[in-house]
Amino acid sequence: MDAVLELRHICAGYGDQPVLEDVSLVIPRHRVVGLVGESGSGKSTAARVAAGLLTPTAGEVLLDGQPMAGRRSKADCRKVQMVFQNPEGSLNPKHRVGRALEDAMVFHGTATRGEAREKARRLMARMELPADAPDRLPRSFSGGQKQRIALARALAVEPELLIADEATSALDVSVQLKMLELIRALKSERNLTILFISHDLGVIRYVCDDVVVMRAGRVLEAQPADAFFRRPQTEYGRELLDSVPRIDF
Amino acid sequence: MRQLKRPRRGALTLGVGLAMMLVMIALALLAPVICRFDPLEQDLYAFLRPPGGLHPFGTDQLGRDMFSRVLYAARTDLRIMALAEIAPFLTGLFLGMIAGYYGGWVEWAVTLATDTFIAFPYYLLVIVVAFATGAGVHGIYITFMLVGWLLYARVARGATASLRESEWLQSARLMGYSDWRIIWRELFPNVLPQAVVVLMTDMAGLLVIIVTLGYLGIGVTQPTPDWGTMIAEGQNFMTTAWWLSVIPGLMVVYTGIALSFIGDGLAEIWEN
Amino acid sequence: MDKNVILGVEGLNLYDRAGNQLVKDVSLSLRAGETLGLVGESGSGKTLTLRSLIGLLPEGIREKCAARRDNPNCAMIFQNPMSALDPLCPVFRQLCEVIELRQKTNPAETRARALALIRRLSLPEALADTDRLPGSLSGGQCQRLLIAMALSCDPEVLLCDEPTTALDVTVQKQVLALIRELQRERGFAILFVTHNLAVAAQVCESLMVMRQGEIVERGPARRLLTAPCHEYTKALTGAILPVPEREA
Repeated sequence: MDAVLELRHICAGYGDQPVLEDVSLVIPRHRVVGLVGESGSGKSTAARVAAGLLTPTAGEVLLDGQPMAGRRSKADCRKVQMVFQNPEGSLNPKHRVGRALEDAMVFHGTATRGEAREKARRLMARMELPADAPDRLPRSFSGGQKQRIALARALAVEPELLIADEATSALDVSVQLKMLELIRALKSERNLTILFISHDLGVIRYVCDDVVVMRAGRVLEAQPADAFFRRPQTEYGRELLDSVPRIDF
Repeated sequence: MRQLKRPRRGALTLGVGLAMMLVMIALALLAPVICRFDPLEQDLYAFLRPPGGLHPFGTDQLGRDMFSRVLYAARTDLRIMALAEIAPFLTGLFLGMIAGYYGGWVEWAVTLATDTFIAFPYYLLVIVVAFATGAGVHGIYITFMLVGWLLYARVARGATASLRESEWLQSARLMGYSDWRIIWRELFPNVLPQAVVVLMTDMAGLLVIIVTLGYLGIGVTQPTPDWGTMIAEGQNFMTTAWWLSVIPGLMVVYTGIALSFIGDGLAEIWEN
Repeated sequence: MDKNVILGVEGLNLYDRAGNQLVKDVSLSLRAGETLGLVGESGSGKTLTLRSLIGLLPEGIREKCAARRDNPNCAMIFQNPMSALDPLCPVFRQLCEVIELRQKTNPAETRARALALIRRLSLPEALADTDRLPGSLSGGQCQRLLIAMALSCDPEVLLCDEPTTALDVTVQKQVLALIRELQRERGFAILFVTHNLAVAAQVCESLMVMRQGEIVERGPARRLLTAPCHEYTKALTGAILPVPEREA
C-alpha cells in the first residue's frame, strides 16, 4: 500500500514527560485517517511528530517512504501542512491574509509572484470567503472564516498530507458543519490525504475513511471507519461509542 | 462604547504628543534661523533682563539671550537623546527576539543579564562611567551602549516568547521558512509596537538623565548650552531671576509630556 | 407571574455600554422540579440570561425586565471545574466549609454530611482522611465535587452552565447520568445552559433555543428535536452529526 506518512514505533514527549509510547500509524494516500482519543491520549503529540514540529525520542517517521531525521528540507516541509484548533491564533495578526497564501506559494514555487495573487484569490473564493478577503487583516474575520483561511494557506502549497488537529472543535456546530462539508468536497476535488484529529466521534464518522483510537499514549485499534462504528475491536472503543450523547426517544 | 472609544482616544493622545514633539524638533532645527542672538555671545550691559521685548525669555547673568540658549540646548539634548537610544533599541530588539524565539540557553543568558542590570541603580552606573571617561557626553553614550539595550531585550524577549507557541508561528515553521525569515517577517511586526511604546517612555527617562548629569556637572560641559547646566546655573539667581531655571525646566517637562503622550497613544491604539 | 414559579423573569432585555441589545425580550420560568435546557451558539446570550437570573451580571451590562422572581436557594455548577475550586485548599475541607456555612452544622455533623455526599457522588472516601488539592483530581472528579458542594445546601434550583463541555465524552456521560439521577432523587429544578442540543436532551424535559439574544423556539425536548419548527432549530438539529448505535 502506498503510504504518504508512516510512524514506526514512535516514543516522544515533552521534557522528561513521556507522552507517546511505541506508536505506529500508517496514513495511506488519498485516505482520510481519523485519530480519536480523549484529552491526554497523545493524539496531538502524534500529529506534531508527524508534522516534524516535535522530534521523537525513539522510532522512525517515513514521509513518502523516506526516513525523516533532523531538520526537514524545504521540499519535505511542503509535503505536510497543518490546521490547528484555535482560530484566534491561526493567522499572523499583522499580515493581510492574502499575503500569507501568496508568500507560501512563491516560497515553494507553486506559483510565481505574478500568478500568486490571482491564485490566492481563487483559492479563498473556493473556501467561500468574501471577495475582498485577501486584502483584509485577520481580526476582521469570524472564527469559522479564520479556520477556512488557515485551510486555504495549508492547501496553497499543494501538500501531500494535510493534518487537521481539532480544526473544527472550537467552532459552533453550524459553522463546524460548513467547514466539514468543505473539507469533504475538497478531499474528492483534490484527492487529499488527511490526518484528521478529533475527540468528536460524530465529526470523525462524517469525514474519515479510517479510524485510529488512541489512549494514554498508545494506539489501541485501527480499522476502516464503517467497521469501527459497527464493531469496535476493543473495550475502550465500545465505551467511547456508547458515551456519545444521542437524541433517541 | 469603550471598545470603540479607546482607539479614538489613543489617536487623539498620539496626535497631541506628535504635534508637541514636532514643534520642539522644528524649533531646535530652525534655531539658527529663528534666533537673533548667538547663544554664546555675552552682553554685559544687558545681563539678567526679564523676559520681554528683544529677549522673549530674558537674558542670563552674562547677558546671553535665553531664547537662543534654550533652543540651542534643545539641539544638544534632543540629539544626545536620539543618538543614545538608536543603537540600544536595535540591538535590544534583535537579541530579545532571538532569545525569545530560540529559548534554551540563549534565553537564559539574556534573561539573567537583563534581570541583573535592571536591579542595578542606573545613576550610579552612569556616574561611574562618567568619572572613568571624564565629563562630557561620551559617558552617556557608553553607558547606554552597555546597558540601554537590556530594557528592549527584555520587552522583545517577553513578546516573542508569548508568540512562540502560537499557531501561526508553528504554521510558518511547517512551511519551512528559515528562522531568519520567521524572526524578521513574522515576529518583528508583532514585537515592534511594544518596543516602540517602551522606547518613548525610555527616551523621556533618558532626557531626565542627560539633564540631571548636566545639572551635576558631569554631563554636557560648558559652554555648550544644555538644559541641565542652565538649570544649575540659574539656581543662584532663583529669587531675583526665576526665568533662568524655570524656562529650561519647563522645556524638559514639555518634551517629557510630549514623549509620554506619544507612548500612551501608541499603546492604546496597538492594544486591541 | 404564576405563583408556582420558583425562579423566572419576564420580558428581559440586556444592553451593553454602547446600547447594543444583547438579550431581547426573553421570558423564562422554572416551576419546582422542572428541567429546562437553554441552548444556543456562542454569542446567543444564553449565559448572560442565566447570570441575570441569579444577579451576577458582568459590570457595564444594563438590565430591564417586566417582572422577575428571585430565588435565594439556587446553586450553580460551571464549565471549568478546575477553576471553580480554590487550588490551594484541600477539596474535602472546601466541601466541609460550604456545608458549615450554609447549614450551620457542628463539626461532627458537617463531616458526616460531607462523607455522605462524597459517597453518593462516587468520589473516593479516602478523601475524608487524606485530603487532596484540586490539582491532583481529574476534571470529572472536580466536577463531581462541585456538584456535591452545590447539593450540600439542598437547592431548589440547580443552575448548570455548560457543566460537561470541558470533560471527555466518557466522563460527560457519567456526569450527565449523575445529574439526572440526583434530580429524580431530590426533585430540584434544573436550568441547563449548553451549546450542545444532544447534551441538553439527556437532562431536560423542555428546551428553549436562543439565537442573537432572542428565544426562537421553545417546547418539549422530544418535539423540538424530532419536529423543529423554526429554521434555526432545524439548522441546529441538522448540524448534529449522528453516531448510530454499534452492533451488539
